[in-house]
Amino acid sequence: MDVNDRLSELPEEVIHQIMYSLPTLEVTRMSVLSKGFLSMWRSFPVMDLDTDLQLQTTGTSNPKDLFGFVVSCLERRRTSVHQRLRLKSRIWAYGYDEDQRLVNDMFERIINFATRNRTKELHLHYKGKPLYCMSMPIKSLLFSSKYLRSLRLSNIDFDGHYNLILTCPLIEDLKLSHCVGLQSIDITCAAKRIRAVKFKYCEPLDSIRISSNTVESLCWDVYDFYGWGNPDRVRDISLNLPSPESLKHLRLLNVDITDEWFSYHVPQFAGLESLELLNCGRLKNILITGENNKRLRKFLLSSNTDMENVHIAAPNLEHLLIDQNPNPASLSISGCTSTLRKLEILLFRVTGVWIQENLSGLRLLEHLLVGGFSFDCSTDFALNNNKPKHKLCFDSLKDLNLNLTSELLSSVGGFEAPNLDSFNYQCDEFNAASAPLPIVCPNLTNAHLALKFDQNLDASMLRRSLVHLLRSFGHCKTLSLFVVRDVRLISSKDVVWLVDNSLWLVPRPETMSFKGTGNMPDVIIKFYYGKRSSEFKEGKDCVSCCCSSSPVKCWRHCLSEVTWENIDDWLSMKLKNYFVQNAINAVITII
Amino acid sequence: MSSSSTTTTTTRLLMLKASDGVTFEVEEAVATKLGAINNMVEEEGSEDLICLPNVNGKFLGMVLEWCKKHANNNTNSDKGNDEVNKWWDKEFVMDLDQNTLYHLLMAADYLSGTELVDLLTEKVASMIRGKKVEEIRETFKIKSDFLPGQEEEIRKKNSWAFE
Repeated sequence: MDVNDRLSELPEEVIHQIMYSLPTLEVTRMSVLSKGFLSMWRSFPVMDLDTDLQLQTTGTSNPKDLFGFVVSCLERRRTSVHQRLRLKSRIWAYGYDEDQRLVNDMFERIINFATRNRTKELHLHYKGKPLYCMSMPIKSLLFSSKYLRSLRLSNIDFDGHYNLILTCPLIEDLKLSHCVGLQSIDITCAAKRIRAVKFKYCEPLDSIRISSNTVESLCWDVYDFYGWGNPDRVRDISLNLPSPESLKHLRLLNVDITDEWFSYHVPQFAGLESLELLNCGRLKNILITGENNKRLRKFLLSSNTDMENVHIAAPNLEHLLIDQNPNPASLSISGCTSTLRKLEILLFRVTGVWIQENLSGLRLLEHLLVGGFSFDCSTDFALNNNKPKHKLCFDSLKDLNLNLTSELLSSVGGFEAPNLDSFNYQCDEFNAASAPLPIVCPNLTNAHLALKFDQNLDASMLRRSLVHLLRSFGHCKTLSLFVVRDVRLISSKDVVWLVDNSLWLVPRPETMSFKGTGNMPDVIIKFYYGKRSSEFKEGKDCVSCCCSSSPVKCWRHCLSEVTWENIDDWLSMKLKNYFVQNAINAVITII
Repeated sequence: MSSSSTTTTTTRLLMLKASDGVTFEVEEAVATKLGAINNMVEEEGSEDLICLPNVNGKFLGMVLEWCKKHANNNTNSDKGNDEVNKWWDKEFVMDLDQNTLYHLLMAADYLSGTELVDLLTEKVASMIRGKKVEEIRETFKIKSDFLPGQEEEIRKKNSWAFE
């Protein structure tokens, strides 16, 4: 039986470890459990100063209170060695010199405290204004600290064009975000444990040099002030990694590396596993060969400027994303088809020849997303119209996302995916020729179709094409159909039309529901079936024409009861008429 | 999962003797999941019997059960196995009563089984998370030994944590 207080009997270091995985709120609460816990709380070598928490409960957002709180916390723990020190605050001290001084003073105390108390982790996440201005002695103390293992700073003003030189011998990760006044960063060999480096929106940072040979991950995100197409956004940068063997992950956003940089550096990253080049506007040519980047498993490339040649032949690539608008003059991914598991290609203009060359032989592919593809038939038809088309076969494909015209689909001879489980299809120009989709997928369980119709399609044609289309998905467990039509809001009059059309598509549903707009509740109609009505002799009355060609008899033959809710009286009348006309035996209940 | 018989290297067996005299025969690779035993094996080398006077047989057995599960993991570590182990860990701590939890934590801490200590402290943390002071006291049967007024004074200093 648990009658004893076992928690209090645990040794201090175990209690501290329990506290370590708890949020500040609970840790602080533990201080009043008993005298023993108060003393263990006082010796807890972690300080999490989360003023956002305070804001939620007390509503004070005064920089003076923040300052007072931080100073008293530091005072209380002034003698202990510190594992972790974090400050998270959103408190704004805007416009007053007094407040500016308080914020600066507070940060200075925290940083001094951290260096004096051998803090291992220092995270200052200050989202308020003004930025903290780092004065000279503090900068050099911090970036050469012998004890720091993790340093994360945000919203710091380095005051001028500061050149940061990092020499902390134990530091493992460095993360700077939204810092200003920072010109260059040099991570020296002295930082011999550094593994992860991340810079996000630091200005006017344009030069990074990493001499330490232990860095595994480098992220550099540059804020794009100018937007696309503005020539001012391009600027010279310098990114230097003299010993790049350890690098596993590289991400560059809006960093203007050049073709020369790419062709010189990337082949040297022999251990590179993931590469993300996002909107690096100067980059025109990319060549990744198997010789040097053997380990590359993930490559994401996006660009909004003209690229010339993109040739990817990494032999172990598993995940590839190419988001290109406009298109590169030439794109080839055929060199890595045998290992790809996930492929996403967006906004790309293709030809049938390209598809045949690059998308066949993807034996391991599990996820495929093809979006915004447009088909360039001008060159194709002339050259290729008479050639026999081969179906594209994807043996392992589980998840398929297509956003393209059916014209393109049929032009390549269709898809075959025996193990496909989930299918998402979006088509902006659905027309009579679009159905059925040339896709063979016998094991599909979930299908999601979003269609926008050709304006010229009349109601009966539309119905026929839809039935035609949906027939391919009869074996699915769930099928969602989103139909986008450029019509006025559907009025209640159209609900009968909607019900009728839906019943043509799904001949024996159990439940049918329509999403209500705004505050309107969802309309729900439930169907109950009994024995096939004996009154309906085959070949008699209207019923025979409804599903004569289908092996499964439709609802009209055996509907015994139908109920609905959330429908107004007028519409109820209309629906009732509709069901009475079509299913004579049904009992109609309205909830 | 492949069985351990496929490995050709002969695994050394260690005898661990608990405070109540119960002994356990375990493979070295299993026992060295515990930092304290790893140190002893590395230092002394030849000694095959290790006495653990601070740990009761019942809890030593549980600790070794955990070690066994996680020692296998090192030899063929893949993602699937990781998942299995996580699930196993979850089951392992799911229904522990506080007495067992306490003794296991003490044993794991004494034997420097860092990963097991992590698992168990996380379990305790999960019993504290989201609770108010009174609820924590009730859960663990903690009696306040503050003088009248003392607790209020401490609460006042961090009133934001106590609503």
